[in-house]
Amino acid sequence: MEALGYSSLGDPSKQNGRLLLAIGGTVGRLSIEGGRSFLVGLRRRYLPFTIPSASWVRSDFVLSLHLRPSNPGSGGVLSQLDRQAPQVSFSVNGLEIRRHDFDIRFANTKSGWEGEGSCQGSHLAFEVLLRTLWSALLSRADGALLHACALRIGSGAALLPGVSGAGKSTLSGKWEPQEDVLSDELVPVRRGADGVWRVYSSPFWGGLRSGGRSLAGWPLQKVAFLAQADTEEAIPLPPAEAAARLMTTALNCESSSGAERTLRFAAAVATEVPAVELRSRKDTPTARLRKLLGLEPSREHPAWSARENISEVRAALHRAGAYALQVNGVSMLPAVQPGDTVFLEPFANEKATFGDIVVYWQPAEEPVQDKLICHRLLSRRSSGRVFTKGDHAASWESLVDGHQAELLARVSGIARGGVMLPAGGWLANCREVAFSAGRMIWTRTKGAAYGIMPHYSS
Amino acid sequence: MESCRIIRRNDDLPHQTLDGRVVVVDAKAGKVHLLNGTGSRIWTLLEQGTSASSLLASLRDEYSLETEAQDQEVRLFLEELLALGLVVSTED
Repeated sequence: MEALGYSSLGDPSKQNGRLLLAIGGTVGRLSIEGGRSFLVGLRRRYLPFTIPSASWVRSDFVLSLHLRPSNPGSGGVLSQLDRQAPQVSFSVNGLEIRRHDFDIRFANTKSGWEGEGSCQGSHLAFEVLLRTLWSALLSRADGALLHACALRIGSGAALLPGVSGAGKSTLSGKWEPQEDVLSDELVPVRRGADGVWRVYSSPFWGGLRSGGRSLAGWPLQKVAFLAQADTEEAIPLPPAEAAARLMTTALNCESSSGAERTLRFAAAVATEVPAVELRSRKDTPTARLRKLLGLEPSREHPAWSARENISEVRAALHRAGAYALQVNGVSMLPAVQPGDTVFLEPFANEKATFGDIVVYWQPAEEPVQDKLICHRLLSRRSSGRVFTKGDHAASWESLVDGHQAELLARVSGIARGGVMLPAGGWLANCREVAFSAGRMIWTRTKGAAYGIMPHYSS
Repeated sequence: MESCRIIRRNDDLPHQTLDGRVVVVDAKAGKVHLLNGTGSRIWTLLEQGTSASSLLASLRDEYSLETEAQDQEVRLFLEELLALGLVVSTED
């Protein structure tokens, strides 16, 4: 897992870590003080939902969190205190969330929610805090966090709400392929700016397991309430019935004030998305369930923002250990030309050599502006600072892995017109970097002589 | 149920009407109530306070209630709504 920039959690000389998380379309910037090994664990646990923590990335909230010592564990058994529901209170300009193991306060400012507080340095405390926080904020963003499992089916998703014991874990455990299970416990559902309801993968899984696919959203095509029966059928549900059932599955820590908002959400989803009661046996196969849901399988995906696309590429690299992309930029001419296919393997520090062509995620302020850059690696320091350069670019780039960008992959091969190009080695890389530097110097010198600088597109 | 008591629905409880049925949420009790067609109509009639006898009179007209047994069903339903806190009653 070191491959994906884990070392970059901020200045290693300080015990501060930055984490930029996107869950259900809500982006939170967390600055966490204390406990470096805990921070590394957090990054590993929530990786599918992280964005390189560049300061220019727009976030919906900012939270400064101080870690306090955690209580000794009780052998994996949840204590009475651990089962306690958090207290959530909203006022006109503020939000407070507290439990015995965390205490945070937010103010609603012009630039969004800004908060500070403390949390025990345990995964349980942090997880419950995140669940509560995201539930509270999603409910104010035309969304909700539901007890449900969500399955990607084709270019959309099915939402299967149900409280504990409804059969969510059993169904998601046997679903094939497993990568299409977006979550088996808590699912963010939200209406997008285009009016389409979407479900998202989440890091919140049963038994507090870590999991999740990516931060991408999937159009919600069906809501199916599970029911164990001797038959196999999908019974259409009228909107009132569906809304009432959805209400019982919404994670709502706020009592009355949140109930009205959640009911409006449930009514809207129940009115706009077809709902069924999905009756099946325990041993009903996945293929039959998919048919009952009436959603056709396909490998297409929805129209995503650049950020969602890149997050999915990262997820695919993790799953398969390989990926292929078609390049459309000119910054790596002549080694990589527009239309070339580059074959990727996950970036690994120990395998990276000078001059390797790498692919990295460069986030922007808005998700549609994020970029996937394919450039040559010049140097990578233990601090996480990386120097890269496009062969055809006028200058090199300096960035901190995990902060201004995230190294995702190393190019293991290039194909052009359906033909694999000969692979270069270390010497070939050195030659290419030398030529690239020479071109840069020549071009700048020539430009200076004529009083102009050439324009390079990325 | 005394006929002189005024009954009205509990406005503290969020509710939504979908395809003619009412969903009422009692967050404090952690309950969600789904009323059938007749129950939803009663809920609508109880938006403004009314006595049980006035309510029965309206329902007799709308649903052609003729028997004492049907009247009793309505009274029992009102008692249940009161017990659940979905409606409140005050002296006239």
